[in-house]
Amino acid sequence: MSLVRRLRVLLVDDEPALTDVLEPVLSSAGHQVSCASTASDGIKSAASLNPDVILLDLGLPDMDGKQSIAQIRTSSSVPIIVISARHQEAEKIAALDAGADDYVNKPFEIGELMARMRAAVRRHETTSRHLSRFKSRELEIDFGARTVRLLGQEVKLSPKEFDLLATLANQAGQVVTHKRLLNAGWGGASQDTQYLRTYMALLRQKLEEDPSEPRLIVTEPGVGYRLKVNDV
Amino acid sequence: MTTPTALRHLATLRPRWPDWTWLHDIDAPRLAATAVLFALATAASFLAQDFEKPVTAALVYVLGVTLIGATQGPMLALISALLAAAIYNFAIAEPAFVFRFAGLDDFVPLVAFSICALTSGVLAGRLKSKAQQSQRSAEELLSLLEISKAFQRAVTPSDLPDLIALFEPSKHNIEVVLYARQNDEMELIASTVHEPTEPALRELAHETMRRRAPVGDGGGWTAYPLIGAEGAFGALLVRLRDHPQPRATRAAIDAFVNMVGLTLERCLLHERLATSRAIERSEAFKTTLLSSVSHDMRTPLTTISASVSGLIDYGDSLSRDTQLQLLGAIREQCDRLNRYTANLLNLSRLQSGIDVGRLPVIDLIDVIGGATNAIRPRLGTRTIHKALEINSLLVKADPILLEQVLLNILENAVAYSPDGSAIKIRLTREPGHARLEVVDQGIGIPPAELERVFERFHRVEQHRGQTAGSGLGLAIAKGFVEAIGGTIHAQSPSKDGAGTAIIIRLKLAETHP
Repeated sequence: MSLVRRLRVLLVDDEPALTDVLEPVLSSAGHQVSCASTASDGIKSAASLNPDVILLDLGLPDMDGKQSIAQIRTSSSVPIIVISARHQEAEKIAALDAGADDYVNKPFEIGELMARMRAAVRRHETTSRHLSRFKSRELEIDFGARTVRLLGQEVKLSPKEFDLLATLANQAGQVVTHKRLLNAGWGGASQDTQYLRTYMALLRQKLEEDPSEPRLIVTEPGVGYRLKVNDV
Repeated sequence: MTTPTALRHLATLRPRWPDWTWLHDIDAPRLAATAVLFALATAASFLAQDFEKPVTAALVYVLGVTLIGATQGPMLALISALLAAAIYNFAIAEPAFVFRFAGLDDFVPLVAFSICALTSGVLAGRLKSKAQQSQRSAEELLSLLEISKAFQRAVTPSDLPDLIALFEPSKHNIEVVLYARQNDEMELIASTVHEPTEPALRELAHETMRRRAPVGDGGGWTAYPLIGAEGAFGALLVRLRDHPQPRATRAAIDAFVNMVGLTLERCLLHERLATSRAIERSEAFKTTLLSSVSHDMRTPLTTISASVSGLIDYGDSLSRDTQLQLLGAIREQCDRLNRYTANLLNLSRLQSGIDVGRLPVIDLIDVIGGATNAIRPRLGTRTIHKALEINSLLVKADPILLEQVLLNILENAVAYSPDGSAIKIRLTREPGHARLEVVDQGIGIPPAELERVFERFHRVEQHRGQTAGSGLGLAIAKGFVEAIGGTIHAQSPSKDGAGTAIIIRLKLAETHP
């Protein structure tokens, strides 16, 4: 792991056993970790510590998760990754709609958590610079020319397929909800995820080595899709 | 609507012309009463003869016959009228004591007298039997109303046999068999027949439900389909008993079928509703259990997974102390998973019931010792103060479960009270009981929650600063304590001024010398 950026991480979780473990491990990976055990403390710290990323447990005792995300969002655009032991799709979608950038299911592995943190931070920085290009190990997208290259080879996409892929790439590494994808492809005219599934299947046909076992465009069941990023 | 229907049917219960039932109304007391009245009328008539004209005597006689008709019925009035005509002609009309028709002058008053006596006597008698009949109808109506009220109170199909008995099949001289279709099976709900020829009757019930019309079997049984909002749901089979005077008219039977049908439909619906409510409750319980299990299993698993992946991926860059800390966390969380599993198992053990008779006699001091030892590693800087009755207090209980109960309560005390505070365990003797109290100096329980903390999966959600329990601990405590005949309740603020007290009272075991 070369070129590890030192991130200021705010961890909001009411489970002391977990914060006691995450804190030293994230620190030893070079990050600076602060902890809060309630939503109200977390909201205060988000304002005062100006973290690069917030890890937020959804099951905090003093406030509903969506509410605390919305509160943080009133003053900050900091990436928020939700960590939750309750794996209900509706809850995840609600958290994403409220302004969370991504979510990680409990239990998780620290490697996965750190990859998500990096993706969230990177996306946060690129959006402020208005991205014109996307490049990962396999995939290269030119947003201006609307061209896509897979392993150097140009791939022909229909306009709708390109819009969907661009939406995923704009938030590469993070989950994008069905609703956002439908908005991107159909301008919100359709709420039918069946269309979406059809177009995602077409995209996979063109981009995946084995569309039945996707490695680039992965499904987040009941929530949306995620463009996997393998760093260049 | 049972009652109006019954009323409508009752309106058709009026006797139909010709109705000769009043002919049966003659019996010994009535004959005697008629004889007395007739004798009085005859005597009065003889006396009246002395006043000027025999017409007075005739009027008195007619009055007597009318009275007989009004009180004793038309048949006796008829007989009295004929007798009176004879006596009048023979003994009163001039010349007395001779049957004689001298001429038209004598004949006309006699015929007039006979017609008057006859008409007024019979008419009065008819009126009397009409009155009797309407009184019977009113009585029948009242009893039907009573029955229909009772039918309306019925809740389950098992109430129906008693209600059918209330209708008094014996009085109405009918026999009744009632079937309901439950899950495509014909279920016998009620029967007044001692040896129901089941298969044949069942077949008849099927037949009437299929045709949705009354069906007879040729052997006296008539089957009526019971039809509700969702089609035919049962059948009522009725047989008129062999009896010289069957009283149940077709209309009465119709009313009865109607009433039974409506009641049975309501009972079946009620029963289905109750079943679906029970299923709903058990589904809700399963959902809560699953959500609790997923949350309470995943929380320790998350720490374990983070520690293990941290050690594997970043072990080299971690200090020796951090490595040990992660390993310690793994062990601790494994313990926690183990405790949670034990509580889940205890819960299922409680649900399957405790055999109180086979519980051993144990000393509460030992249980307290075990639980305090188990909680000590998790106390942090909190302290435990014990104030215990020195004499041993013996109770009948499962020692492992009781220790778990106390441990659950102590865990809550630790979870909800600040570092450095004291947790008190008090054991005192009350007449016939041991009182065990755990008092903390924690955040306490809002008054509205005091009862609910003992519900399964209930957690006091506000101001929780520390690791919360699974919401099973106190539920298990209550379940077990009550299973062995004790009581448990929460007090907040405790008598000591702050925090929460959980108070358990257990019956002392009888110690035989």
